[in-house]
Amino acid sequence: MPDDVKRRDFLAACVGAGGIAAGGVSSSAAFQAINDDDSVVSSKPWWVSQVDEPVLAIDDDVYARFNQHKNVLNAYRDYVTEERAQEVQEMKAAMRADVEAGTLPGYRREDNALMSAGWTLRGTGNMNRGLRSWAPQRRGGPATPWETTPEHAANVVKRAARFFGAADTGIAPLDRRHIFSRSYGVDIHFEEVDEAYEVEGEKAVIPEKVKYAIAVVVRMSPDVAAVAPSQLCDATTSLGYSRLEFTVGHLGAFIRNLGYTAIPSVNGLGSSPAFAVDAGLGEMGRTNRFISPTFGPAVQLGKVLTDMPMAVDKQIHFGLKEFCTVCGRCAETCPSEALSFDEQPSFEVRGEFNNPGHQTWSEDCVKCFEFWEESNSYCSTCIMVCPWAKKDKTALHEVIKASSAKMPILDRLLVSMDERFGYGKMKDPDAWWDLDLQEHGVDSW
Amino acid sequence: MVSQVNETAVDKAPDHLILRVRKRPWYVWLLRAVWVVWILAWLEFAIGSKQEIEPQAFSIAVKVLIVSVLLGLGLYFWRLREERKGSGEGVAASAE
Repeated sequence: MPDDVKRRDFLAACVGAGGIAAGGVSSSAAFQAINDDDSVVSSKPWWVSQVDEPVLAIDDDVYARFNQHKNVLNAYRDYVTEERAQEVQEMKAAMRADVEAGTLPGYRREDNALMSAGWTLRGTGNMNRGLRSWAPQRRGGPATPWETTPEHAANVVKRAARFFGAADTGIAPLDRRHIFSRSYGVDIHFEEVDEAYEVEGEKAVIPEKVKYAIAVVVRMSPDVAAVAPSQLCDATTSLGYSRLEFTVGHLGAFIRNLGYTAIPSVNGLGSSPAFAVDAGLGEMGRTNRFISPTFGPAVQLGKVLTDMPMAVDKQIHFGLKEFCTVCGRCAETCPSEALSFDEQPSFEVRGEFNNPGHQTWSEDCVKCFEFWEESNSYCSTCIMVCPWAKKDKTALHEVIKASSAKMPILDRLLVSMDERFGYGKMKDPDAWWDLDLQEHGVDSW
Repeated sequence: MVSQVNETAVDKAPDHLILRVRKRPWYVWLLRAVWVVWILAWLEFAIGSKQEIEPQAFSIAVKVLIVSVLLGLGLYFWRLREERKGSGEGVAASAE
């Protein structure tokens, strides 16, 4: 048996095929990879391959740490004229009256209240604040670092992350180029120090000994993501951030209790999608956003940086690059035409808001942000229409995903079928309030 | 119990009867198994699509399911009728 087809992968494939044949067996359970006692936890479907080289290339001569202040959320007015900014604000205000009156589906009073309430935990702090504090406090156990094998440490961390609410977790060696050069008003440095610290308004310091990034995925509610663009849809975005806050905060505390440094983070500090790709949790799609093989694009990402030695994961490939090459539904549907129609990913950037040096389908973040403003929402249409965004209630989705991963020649047919079957259409936001929901509207099994 | 009798021959020897039963060829059983899996897969997809609130997918799944069931049963009964014709009048042709 070749090295790349391990016994457990083969068995998992057989179990998966049996699940399909039986019809109605829980698909994700049927596709769980079998975990040997001495291996690192892996819940990847059998059709996901591990790769040694990045699927989307990085130009080492160009790729460097990005100043997060160039992000369109921070620097929008640097990228447009004053007239344009005013025009967008006027469009936002024009819709605002209807939003406040609650007359629009998805923008009713209860939708707005749900979305705003979703931010509650997230609102307790930002980088190095609240649950994401870098302070080295511990709540139990000896101060000496826990000693075990890297494989066991990785297993334990992944189990703990799951316990704290992560749908998926991966571990990558820390690539410092993914750390922002500047974030939340401070420059970020690496220094030979024992603990991370911040000099307010000046600099934040990560210890040189921090060598690992634990990337965590939190799943958005597929039922809510299916009503984009609307403020009801935004509720899964806001709640997702709060859940990430909870997850990375608790995971950081767990690692500190084991005697190591932990720096929990959500959107600040560094590029969460870059860490998630390095940690083998998914690939970047045409949306210029992270896509998980299991959960699709409706996910949110966080990370915890640490010095605890752990076995790292390899990057993965499940045919997404090939699929996005022939699909393009997100670009066709994007209300602001912000996404790329280029057939192949490239190193081209659309503005200073893009970090150059990595192959991708670059996005015009200004157009995207302007639609957020105009629509009084965070849009998410690209997430809703993506064929990888499915609710996992039927095993056929797993068969389709596996077919795309292993037989890219079928991708065009699969995209066409996805449209014919009516997927990706906006659901009635008012009907959402009558659904039977799971906790947080999510089933990540 | 024999599931299907294709041809019956009666030996009118004085002290006993001989009943000859022709087995279905293997490919018929294979086709039936494929048909059952096909039906179950579409049934599962229809139920899943209903749960996912995907009306178009549900509608297509139900249509495919109904057509598949009707086609399968139609073919079955058509073949049964043909076999009965071929087995000779007045002779019991099916033990199913």
